[in-house]
Amino acid sequence: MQPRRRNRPFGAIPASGLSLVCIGVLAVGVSAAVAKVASTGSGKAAAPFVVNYAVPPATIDPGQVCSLEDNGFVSSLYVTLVQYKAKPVPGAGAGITQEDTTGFAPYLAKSWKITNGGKTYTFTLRSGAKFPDGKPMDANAVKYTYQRLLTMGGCGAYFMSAGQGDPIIKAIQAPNPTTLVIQLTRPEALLLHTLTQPNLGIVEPSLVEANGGVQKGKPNQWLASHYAGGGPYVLESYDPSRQAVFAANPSFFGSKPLESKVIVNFITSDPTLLLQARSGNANITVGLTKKSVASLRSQSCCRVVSVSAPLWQLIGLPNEFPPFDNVKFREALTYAVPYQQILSKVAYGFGKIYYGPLPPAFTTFRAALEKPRAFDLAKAKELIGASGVKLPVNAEMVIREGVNDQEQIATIVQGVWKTLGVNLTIRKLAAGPYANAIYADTKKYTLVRFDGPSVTDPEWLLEYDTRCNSMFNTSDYCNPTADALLNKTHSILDPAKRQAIWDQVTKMWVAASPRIPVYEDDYTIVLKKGVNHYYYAQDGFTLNKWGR
Amino acid sequence: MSEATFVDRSPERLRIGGRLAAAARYVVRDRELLIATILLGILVLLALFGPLVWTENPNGIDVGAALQSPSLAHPMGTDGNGRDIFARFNEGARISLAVGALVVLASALVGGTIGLVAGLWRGLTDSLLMRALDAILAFPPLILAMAVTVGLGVGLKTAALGTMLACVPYFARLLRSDVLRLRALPYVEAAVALGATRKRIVLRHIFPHTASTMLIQSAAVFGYAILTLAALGFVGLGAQIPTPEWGAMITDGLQYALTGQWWVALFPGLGLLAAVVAANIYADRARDILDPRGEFARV
Repeated sequence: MQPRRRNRPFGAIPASGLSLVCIGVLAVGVSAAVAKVASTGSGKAAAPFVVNYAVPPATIDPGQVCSLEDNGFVSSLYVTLVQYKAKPVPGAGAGITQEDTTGFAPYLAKSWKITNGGKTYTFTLRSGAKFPDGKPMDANAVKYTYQRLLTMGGCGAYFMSAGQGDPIIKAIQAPNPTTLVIQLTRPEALLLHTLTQPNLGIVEPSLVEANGGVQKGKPNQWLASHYAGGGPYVLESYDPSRQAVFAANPSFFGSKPLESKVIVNFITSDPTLLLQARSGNANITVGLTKKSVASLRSQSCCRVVSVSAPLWQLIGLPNEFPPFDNVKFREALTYAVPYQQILSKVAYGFGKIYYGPLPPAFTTFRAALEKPRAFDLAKAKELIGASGVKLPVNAEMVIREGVNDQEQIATIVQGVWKTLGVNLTIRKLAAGPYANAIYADTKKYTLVRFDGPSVTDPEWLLEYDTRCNSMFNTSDYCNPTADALLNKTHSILDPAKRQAIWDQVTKMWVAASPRIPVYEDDYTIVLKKGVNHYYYAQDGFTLNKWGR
Repeated sequence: MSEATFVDRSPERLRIGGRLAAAARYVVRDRELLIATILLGILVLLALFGPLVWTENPNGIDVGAALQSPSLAHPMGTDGNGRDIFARFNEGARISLAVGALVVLASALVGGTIGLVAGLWRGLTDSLLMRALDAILAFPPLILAMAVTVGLGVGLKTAALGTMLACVPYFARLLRSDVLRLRALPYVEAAVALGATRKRIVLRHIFPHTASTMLIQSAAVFGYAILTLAALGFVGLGAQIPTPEWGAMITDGLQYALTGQWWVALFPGLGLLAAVVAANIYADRARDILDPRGEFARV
């Protein structure tokens, strides 16, 4: 009985081998096609400045943007009353600068004065500023913008309260086109900081009124995908799934942008971003994973810029849910994280480890109070024993799907905590459900989160991060004594006095071990050779300060 | 007078040992089948005995040893969390082969039953069952499997259930057409005429003759089931962290494809390729061997 010989059109090549070859050829062809599709819209070299960005914005309405990424996207489209000064990034070379949050510079407001015990801010605006449609960008436009935010609610209103939650704006007046007066219900040291934020970007009133206007408690759908600003750039075109094109605003009152035209491609695939960066198709690449950035360090195509930024990866522990309501148990877990190895293998060295509520990038960070915790499993076991918590403990860890760093951190922690008798089930959630989980009133799960405040001041950060009952308090940590101390800071402008309060709050926080800051995460960008200017802002996509 | 010793020289009546030897000779002579047998054999051996021989913990985290290239200490290297990929590969082989086989078995049982009932009962029952299957077939199988998984909660069990559901119509329709053909054959008509019960007709005359059809389809579906499970794992709907399922391992490894750590995705990908190719070759050969009009048919 002989096996039947098949007719083989290609001779002795087995069908399975031929199919493998075909699959390989197809794969190469598809990859090439994908790379071509993902290439710049213009298809031409050099002329427009190309930025590849990993995170397409959810909205471009400055009054509704909430995340650091979205805030940053609108920052070059809108003007704010004031802006931060700039300072060089240490070790990054000439032309690389970052915002200096210790000082303010004029923007639409030429000058300002604070009176009435810190409750009245009077701004003198520059005259002659206009929107692209010729309408004046004056005090009335600013008043309209701020009233809009307060009426709509949402993130804009949160920023108008300087991140404090309570309504601090008593009145906004525009006695003449170049004078704006903001009266507060109480002094608030953070107000000027919030006025620098893209959320408070000034909109053109008649354009907004012609397209949905302002409705109480409701966002403006038109503005979510349209432009109504007067910043250094106008939005020439916008496809949220693909690309945005920025063109220099001829009626902008300030310095002309470094590049007259900027194409921002939204590319969520890390391998595609990496390929584009390597091949020089992008002048600036933002949002690459640390692994990909690390692979470019030795490449001749590009320059990697790393900025110490108040951004961090954290593991939130549900302080109100047993056994995480046990201080010793929480402390034990903080000794069961291989911080240095994670920094090395997940963050590829782009960061710092610390243990405390304030990250090292804060000027108010005190290394003596926020010393990193060691990876010490013996100590962790000892503390668990002392806590009285019965093992095994079964818990859930929530991470955002598609974020490799979070998945890696969760997997590592899952493996290590298993040796302690803490069994973690990892639950991956899409963006929407993940946000709901993060902001749930009471959390019953641990979570991994990439976080950072829009305003790099402890009052802003601690207000949402440690306040009892704050929806942004990722660990449901609550210390009424710390809250009382935070209440005092609103009216204290003296830096030394404020620092004394931060130090007290830090000590209380460290003693409570409410969560685990895994590492401070440096902000990394890849610049193509020939790109000589880059400016980092926490909420920063300051395209007008990027260029060749 | 001595009794004649009967020596059965009929080629059709080979003894069992002879059948196995003949099968082995057949496999050896057919190059593709030989390769498929070797591949599948290796995977089965790794699945069965790999964890016993290579005792590394497939979920053992050693961040300091992350992304090490293949070596004697780690034959397939380590992944981003320092886990030994060879250990995870073996565990993944267990999962893929076992779950794939279970999916095939379950879908064959369910689909076969539906096909049998539809073919035997005809009429309204047949119509209703076939229209229900048409509705299932209207969905691309992978999309259907994804929908089931998302609806019931992600995980390996629901992924297997979704895959099984997507495979049921193929068994059902095939078996139905087989039953319709068989029930029209003269020997079945004769059995009916002789007063055989329906149960006897099904068990004695119809069901045994559908076995070859089911076998061929099972072999084909096995490869598809493994691929679908891997696809679901690839998009995060199948096995969850830290289960070492090949699809999920490939997804994890893709992020390293451009940064030089090629081994993280390659080995689970090769495992998947080997399993699917072997299954497809077996399905192809099974069809040839069991074809009643083929060269291996016994008259």
